[in-house]
Amino acid sequence: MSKLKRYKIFVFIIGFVVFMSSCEKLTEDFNKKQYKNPVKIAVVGDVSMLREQVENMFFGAQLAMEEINQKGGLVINGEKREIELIFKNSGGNPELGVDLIYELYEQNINLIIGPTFSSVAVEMAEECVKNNMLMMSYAATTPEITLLDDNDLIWRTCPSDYTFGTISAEYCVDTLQLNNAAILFRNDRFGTGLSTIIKDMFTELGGNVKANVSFPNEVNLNTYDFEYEMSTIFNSEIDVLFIVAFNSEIAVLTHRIFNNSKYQSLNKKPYIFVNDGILPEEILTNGNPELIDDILGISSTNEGNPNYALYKNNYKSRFGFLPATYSEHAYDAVYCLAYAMLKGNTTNPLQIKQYLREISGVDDYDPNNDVIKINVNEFDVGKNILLKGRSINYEGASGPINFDINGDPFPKIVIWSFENNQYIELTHFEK
Amino acid sequence: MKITGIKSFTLFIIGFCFTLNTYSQEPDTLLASKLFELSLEDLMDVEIVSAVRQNQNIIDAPSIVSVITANQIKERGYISIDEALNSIAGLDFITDHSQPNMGIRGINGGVRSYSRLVKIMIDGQNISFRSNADNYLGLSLIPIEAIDKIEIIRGPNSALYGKNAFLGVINIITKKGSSLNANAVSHFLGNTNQNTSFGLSTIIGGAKKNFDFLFASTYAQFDYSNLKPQNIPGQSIYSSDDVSKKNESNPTSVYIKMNYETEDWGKFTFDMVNQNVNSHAEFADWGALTHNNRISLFNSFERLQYSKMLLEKLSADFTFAHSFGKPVNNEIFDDDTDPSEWIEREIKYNSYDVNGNFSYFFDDINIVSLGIDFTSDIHDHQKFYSMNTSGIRNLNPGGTDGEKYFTNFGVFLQMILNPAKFFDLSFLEDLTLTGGYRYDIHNIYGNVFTYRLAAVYHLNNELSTKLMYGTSFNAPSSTQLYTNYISPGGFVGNPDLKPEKAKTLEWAIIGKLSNNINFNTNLFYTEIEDKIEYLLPYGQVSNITAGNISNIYSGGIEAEINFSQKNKTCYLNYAYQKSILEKNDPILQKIKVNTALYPSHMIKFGNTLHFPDYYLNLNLEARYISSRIASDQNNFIYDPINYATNRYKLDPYFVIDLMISSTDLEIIKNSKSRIILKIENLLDYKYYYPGFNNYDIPSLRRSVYFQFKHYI
Repeated sequence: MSKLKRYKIFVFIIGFVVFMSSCEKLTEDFNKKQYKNPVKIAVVGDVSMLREQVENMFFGAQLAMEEINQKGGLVINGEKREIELIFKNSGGNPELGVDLIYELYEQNINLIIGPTFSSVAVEMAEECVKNNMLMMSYAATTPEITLLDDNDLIWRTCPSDYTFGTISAEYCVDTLQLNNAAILFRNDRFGTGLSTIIKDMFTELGGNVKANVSFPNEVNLNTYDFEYEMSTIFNSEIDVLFIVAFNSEIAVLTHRIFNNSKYQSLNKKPYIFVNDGILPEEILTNGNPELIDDILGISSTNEGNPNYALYKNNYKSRFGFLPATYSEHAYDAVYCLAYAMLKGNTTNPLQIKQYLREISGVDDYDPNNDVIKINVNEFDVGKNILLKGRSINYEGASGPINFDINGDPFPKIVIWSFENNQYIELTHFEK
Repeated sequence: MKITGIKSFTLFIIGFCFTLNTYSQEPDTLLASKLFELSLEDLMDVEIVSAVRQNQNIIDAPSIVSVITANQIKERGYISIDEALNSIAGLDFITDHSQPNMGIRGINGGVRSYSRLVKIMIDGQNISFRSNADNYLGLSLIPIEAIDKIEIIRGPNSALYGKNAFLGVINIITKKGSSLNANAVSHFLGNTNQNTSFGLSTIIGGAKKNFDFLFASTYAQFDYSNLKPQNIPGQSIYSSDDVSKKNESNPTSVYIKMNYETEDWGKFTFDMVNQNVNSHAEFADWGALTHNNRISLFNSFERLQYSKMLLEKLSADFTFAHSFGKPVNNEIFDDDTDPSEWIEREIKYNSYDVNGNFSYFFDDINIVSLGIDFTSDIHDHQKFYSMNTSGIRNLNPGGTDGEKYFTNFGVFLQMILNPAKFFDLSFLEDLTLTGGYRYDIHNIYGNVFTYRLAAVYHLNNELSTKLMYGTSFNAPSSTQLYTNYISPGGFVGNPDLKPEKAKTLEWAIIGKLSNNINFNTNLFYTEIEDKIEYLLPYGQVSNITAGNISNIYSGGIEAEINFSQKNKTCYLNYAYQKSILEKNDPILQKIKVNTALYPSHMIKFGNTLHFPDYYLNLNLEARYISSRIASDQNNFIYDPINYATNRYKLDPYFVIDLMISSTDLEIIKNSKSRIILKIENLLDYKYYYPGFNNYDIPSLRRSVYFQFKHYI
């Protein structure tokens, strides 16, 4: 090595410099944003169980936060404040959800958007009420929340299962003239609640529920022995089988139903009516193709809602993909809280709750009709109006919110089906 | 025994070298000298062919090249290609005990990738299973006895070899029949993780007049049962009773080669390889511990080559090859433990390769080469069917049907130029330049232009430095484009995939420090665009899909040193790689994080000692592999909110393999035999490989093999 001439060493140095100069990209960068004087809102989702679905709801909330902050954020007591969302996982487990409430309380975060599951939401709601924290779910549809003694601290931007269950039963009995039904539901708060509504309404309308069977919610459905459930359901001829399940479970259920010998032996195959939250594309992609023509479903719809179309465009521009169901409800939850904070000039949940109906367009609060309609992504307009002491009616991505006395909205609802392997909408219901 | 950290490894090496010095006081003998000479030859003065498709000394080759010779394979007791490659700097292996999955320079192909980031060839012929571009590097690849040397090129080589010579090329050069000292039969019996394993290999060959013949075969059975998956931190999906059962692997391979060569007629070569991958995949990503998976694939090629010096300075060679692959009848996929329902797969390819290469030799250095090749792959795309005992056979949904015929036309031009000789510029006598350009026209993914530029400069007679820059691409496979799923939510193809593209800058110094020490060290920097990964696309909630998801920036250093003295040879290599994955996270937007699955530090060490007085050889190899970030799939479960940035790591590990072998003994009259005892994972170290579906994959514990090789 010592025999090397100087110019050869120079070659080394040049080579080394050229090499190192090209390596500037080799550092981690999490691109974490710093918020100015933030108002912290926890966004809670059951991502351990339905990550792929739930994180789309997070993205909806994120979009709302970014739009609000880009337009100057909140002004509370004359002070500019940005919204910072703290994403948390309640794990599909009520105990974890309650622990989360304690954790957030310790961190002085008392505004919560979420959680996803009804079973978690009810337990969390009770703790929120005890601790004067305001909770607004975007996906927990259980009717238990509607009837909760909640000191007006528990809200939601998604419709109640009471609405879905009632309409599902009415459509089957009144429109399709189906008289004999069975129900297969997941054995949790959500499944029990919705199946009870369907059963009660179906019976009340003159129908006959021949079987009402649950399946365990913490088993691998691929390996679970459905013999008891299937035998009970298909023991006699039925016109419709209501399934109350998660989107992630529906594909396996369709395969298990189709491969069941008792189902195969039925003379007339029943309709299969799936609950809100089950996505048509999941059935088309992963469900048993032999059953597709017999499937009906229910969901809230944004068809004809220009605010949803705008939200969809904004969402696509920001994230690069289309929003999934319920993300619009999370988006609206952020806006509702932001407008209520502006309206009340407060971040205190006990005061914010008093303004949520005012900003969401309930007629009672507007005797003189002196309100201005605020659409999606018009935060700067809405903020200016509210800062001048006037009223707004926020019409969200999911449509008019119109919180009722129980803190529930009422959206437009659709009954859907498939024709030639294509999604079709059969009929709509509005308030 | 728990050993962690580089310090332990350093202590081990120091301690072992001290022991070696004691051994080296033994008197040298003629036999030892002979072995020593062989090892020296292995160390540096090796001719390679893969870097430029011409014979070159390893010091002159315009690539980062490592070589494993037949002698090293024998001395170190390797029984499969992956074992041999695992001694090379910058290569890392993970395994699901069905097939090894090799990563290179900070990047692993990830789930459903079996070593698809490099091009594996046998004497220049692609041997991947073309439907999915996987390379099966286990025993089924080729009988290891047939190998003359393995040339490992790290870095891009699409400019010469076209698609899939992406981050490296491994070319297995086979022996000639005439080079065999004797025909041989060998068999081994072993205890793999407390299960019985065995194998049988043969090699027969010879030459008569102008005809040369070689036949080699291998069959083995390994049993990887009683392995317990490791739960993701914070999870308890698998209990201590959940272990792999009947997790057998039965690889088979056969290699045949025939040459006929005369001065007038040139050289004709016919060769063929049959591979059979046959293993119960208890740690498959679609269904772990189902006790009902069996991957069974047949893969083969037959090839006819002709080469001749057409003129005094013009050589030509032509090749026609047919490759074929499909599953064998007993293949089963299962995602649960219910034996009444299962999944079968249909997949098949027939490929025809035709190519011609011409080289004009201006002198012994300056060469210009032109090559043209055409490949036609006829694919029956991967389709999974759900079956049950009632006779139902339903095609699973998902994926799309696409073009069955994949055709690629490629042309390359390469010039090796020594300006001093070519232009009579004597002041540049130490410099050799290489430029290669290639244009590929493919009917599915369009046209791709790749190139490679290199400068090799001799600093002195025993030392050279190399500066290289090249581009490469990895073509989407039929499976990545079109497959349907195994079970709902499973992986489906994406017909809109683009090729992955890479560009790499490398700088190397290679040479001898003294007569018995040589080294090879390099710095590299690679940028990959449009890396293909299987992930659930955001905004959808149905199936995991292949996508061009990220960019990767990877840089590092690889250094290896070889030492030979009297009756011992040893190697020590170190690789450091910093690999950054850049992608769009919906919340955080553009982020850069360390790549998963790959260690930052790897230290590999090997030492072979010869004790001719005792008719014994001893080989000891050790590997320290630093911690690796778990797979994205597992990190979704570990932290389903902050999975992009909060990821868990698998512990580092340190493994020692020991082999004690006899020299060739005359146990049976007039024939030689060799006895080998090999202990893998001598310290019985427990470690894990990254898994892809809610668990990490356990390593094998201490395994012992007894091998008897008989020369006929």
